[in-house]
Amino acid sequence: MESFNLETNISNWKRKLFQKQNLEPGDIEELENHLRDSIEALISNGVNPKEAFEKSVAKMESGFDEALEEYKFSSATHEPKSKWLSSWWIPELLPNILKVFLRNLKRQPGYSFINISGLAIGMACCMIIFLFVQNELSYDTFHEKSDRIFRVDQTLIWNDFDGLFSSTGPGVAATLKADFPEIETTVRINNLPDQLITIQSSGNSIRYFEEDQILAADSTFFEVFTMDFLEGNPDNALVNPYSIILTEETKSRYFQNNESALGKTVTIGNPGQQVDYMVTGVVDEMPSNSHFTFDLLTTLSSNPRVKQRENTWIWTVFVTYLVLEENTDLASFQEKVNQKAPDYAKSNIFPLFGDEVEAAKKYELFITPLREIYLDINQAGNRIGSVSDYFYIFVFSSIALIIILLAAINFMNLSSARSAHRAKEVGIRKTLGSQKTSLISQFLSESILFSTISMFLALGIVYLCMPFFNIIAAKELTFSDLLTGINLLQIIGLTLATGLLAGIYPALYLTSFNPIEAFKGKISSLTNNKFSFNGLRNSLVVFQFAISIMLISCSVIIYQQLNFLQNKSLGFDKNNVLVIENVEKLDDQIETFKQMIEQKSGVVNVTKTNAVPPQIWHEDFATVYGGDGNSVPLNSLNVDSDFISTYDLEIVQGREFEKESSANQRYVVLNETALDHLNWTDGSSGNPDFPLGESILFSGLDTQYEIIGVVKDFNLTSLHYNIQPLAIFHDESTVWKGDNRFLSVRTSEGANLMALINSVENEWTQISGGLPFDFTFLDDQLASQYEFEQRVSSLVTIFTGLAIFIALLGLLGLVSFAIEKRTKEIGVRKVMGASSSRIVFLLSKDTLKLVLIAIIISIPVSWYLMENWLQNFVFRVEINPVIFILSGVFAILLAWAVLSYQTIKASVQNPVKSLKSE
Amino acid sequence: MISRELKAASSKPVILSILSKGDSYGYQILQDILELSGGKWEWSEAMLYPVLHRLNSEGLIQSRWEVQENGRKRKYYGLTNTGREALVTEQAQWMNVHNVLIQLWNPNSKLSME
Repeated sequence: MESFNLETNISNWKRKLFQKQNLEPGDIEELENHLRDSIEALISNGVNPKEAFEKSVAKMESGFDEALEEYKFSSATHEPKSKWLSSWWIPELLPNILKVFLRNLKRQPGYSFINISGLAIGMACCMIIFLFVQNELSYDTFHEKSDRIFRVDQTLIWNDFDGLFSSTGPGVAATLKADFPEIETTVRINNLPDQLITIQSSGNSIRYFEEDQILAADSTFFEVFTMDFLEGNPDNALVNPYSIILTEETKSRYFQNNESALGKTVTIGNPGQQVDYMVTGVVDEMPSNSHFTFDLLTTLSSNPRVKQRENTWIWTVFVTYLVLEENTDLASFQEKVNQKAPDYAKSNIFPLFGDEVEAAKKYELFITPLREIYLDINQAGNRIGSVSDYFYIFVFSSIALIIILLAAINFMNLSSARSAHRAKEVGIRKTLGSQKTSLISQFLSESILFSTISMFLALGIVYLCMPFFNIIAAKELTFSDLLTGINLLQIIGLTLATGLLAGIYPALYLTSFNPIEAFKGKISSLTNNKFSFNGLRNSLVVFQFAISIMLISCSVIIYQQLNFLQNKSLGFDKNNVLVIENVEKLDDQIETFKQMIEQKSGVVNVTKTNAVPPQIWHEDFATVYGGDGNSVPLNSLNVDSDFISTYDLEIVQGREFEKESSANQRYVVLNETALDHLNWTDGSSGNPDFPLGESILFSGLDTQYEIIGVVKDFNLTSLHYNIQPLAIFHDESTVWKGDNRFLSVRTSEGANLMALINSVENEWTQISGGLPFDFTFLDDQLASQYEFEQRVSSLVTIFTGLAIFIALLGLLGLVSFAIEKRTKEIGVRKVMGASSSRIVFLLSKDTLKLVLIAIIISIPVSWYLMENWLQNFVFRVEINPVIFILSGVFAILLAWAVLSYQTIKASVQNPVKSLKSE
Repeated sequence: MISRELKAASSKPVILSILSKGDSYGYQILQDILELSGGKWEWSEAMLYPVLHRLNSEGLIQSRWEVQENGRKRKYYGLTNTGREALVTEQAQWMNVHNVLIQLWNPNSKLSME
């Protein structure tokens, strides 16, 4: 007969109870106790154990299931607290959580370091990027009427660009104001070219200043834009012609600080054309988050040309702003403007340009909200200030998110990998009656503690790194920006969100352990002989590496493109060219000055032009003489006979201008694109030298210009744009050439530039009588075209580095953990004769497999992203697939470097030692 | 035997009364009831524990664990102050019912059936 084992039966009965949903471990223990009392009583009355057990169980179980319903409802209500019964209410548990947290921190310093430093770096990046994005989005919000101010943009009808013009003719403002009652005020702003400022101080001493931040505006300027007046009155400061407003900084340069500037005279203009202006106000500078700024502000009415051409729609150098009445609906207003636009074009523009313009483009006016100007939402550019791009906000926000995600993944991976260490703790807590919810809240509190510590560290990092970031990003962010009420709330939000994000998976994973199995150590990762990467952890590692490889390949491609832009052959020799600006100030002395420079040692060539690359923008229209009369958009450049040789342009056909020949004024040299646009490429005319000898009419002038030469295309503007058709006229021709003159000086290789510049400056000072001397180097000027991209590239590279660092940190943690788990295995393998290299291979194999998967995933994503970005450039690199392979190899090398340190350490360890471990 | 309904109705005053004599645990409470009723009230565990659970969650009784000499832990219940007050109310109600029934069952009852 089978013997009856009371204990076995009781524990079987208990196990059944564990499966009942509503019973807590405490309840079960109470019931077990009851059962034992009952059995004992029966046994002491002489009943045999088996019968006593069966009887007691039968009695207890009658109606048992219905009784359990009671537990279901009441267990949710509050229980009187017992010591071992924890609450989900965290503050009450805080001391305990803190104690466990500190204990773990001390026991696993490496792991804690990885978690905290990763999170801190991630959060610091987030905070800095957050400030950056906040700053980008805050542009122009400080004006009182900022939500009602709009800029009028128009179709760019003059040339081949599909684009918008952020400025309009002077007549647009008044016409719109008269036609639309929704418009409260308008203001037009015109940016003046660099001006020479003369200040005569009390002691009769004369000082000169070269100013490039001068705007001229209507008297309504301060009705539209909000500025703080230190002196003067905004209501009448711009009413009279020849009024001028200085910023505080400008005033401090011109006048003594303690005296009022009001009523003082500021003289503008080159010698001989000087005009006196009276200071009518001193204002604070525009905040740095304004889409335009100025050092001096004068009145449009001071310019007689504006008065003469007040009503024209084609002199499109005026930025027109509108203030709409409150509660005006932008969409319906835009719709009304759209209906009127064709009429405006018919009466103001087409009569002057003819049918081709009308047929080529639809003239439209666009009402752009002030706050969207800086981010250039309609890609119109900005005539009086710089613009940013939504794309970059998107890029940086994504990077912030990615970095914090990588750090959170580290936390998840390491916590769950280390779960074995905590399994027993969970088991004990569960047995003692901890509920699952309270355990989850315990683990979440721990991760929030981690993120809180990281947050404080991150604040420190931000504080230290802010100056460097400002330099790279050309921003003026301050640490105190972070400490405003809303931002502090956001930081707390970020901390909590990071803590929850990082902690939720480990919390759920750890608390899912069955307490009995946890005691027995039967957590899968403990017995799993593999790398203890379960599915989710694997995919997280793949994700991290895919992101890292993507960032690497993207920054390489961005770097390549920028490098390409810097080094692309532009069709002219940009090296060793010194550009002297504002030469027009020398007036009839220019030639003398030019000859003086030509004689200096180290000077190869000097040429005088009215524009230099990358700013050759004089657009107009030309027609073929004797052709069908179609006008073709053509840019013009005015040069002297030294231009082509100084810039080293390649002449494809014909010749350049001859020196000192009066015939030059009738000649023109075209570039290849111009031939193309004039439809002169077929060569079917029978003239072997075609188109040499042909003529064009330009700019509505009757003069015929004979083509004497064709130059190979060169880049007139930045490489964002296509090469435009160009007509090169001689300086003596009658075509309009604007006010500016430049002297480009080609120096010989290795010339002593410092000495040359000094002596040229001396000549200049003598000839000009002390006017400011301004010069640049052509290659610097060209490079500055890509400053914005350059900045973005540096930032992307830095953040990429950080992201990779965080990912590697996580890998390091995971690998060292996995090796720790396999110490014995490594020992056994060594004893059995495995070589160290074999063991290293074995240990790295699994991780490297994951990196390979990551490479495969990252390629299409980065390809897509970069292809999109490169669309911004007309001249661009093609994406080379090798980059992806190299990025992948780089990632593998990095991963392997991390791996090998740990694995080699493990593999060379004395097997006896490792077998003794645990 | 006592009907199920009556047992259910009286469970609260009975348990509160037993605990008012001193802290006790589930098995002992059942034994006490069995003894006091001369073996006529046999409560099942399935009846007792839910009531204890409910009284506990209503704050009328509180529980604590005590380790026995044999190393086993036993959950003891005791009255809270609220529980004591509740017992007074219960007593008054049951005495009321009791008085009415006693008078009715007295052959000299003044209540006429007409």
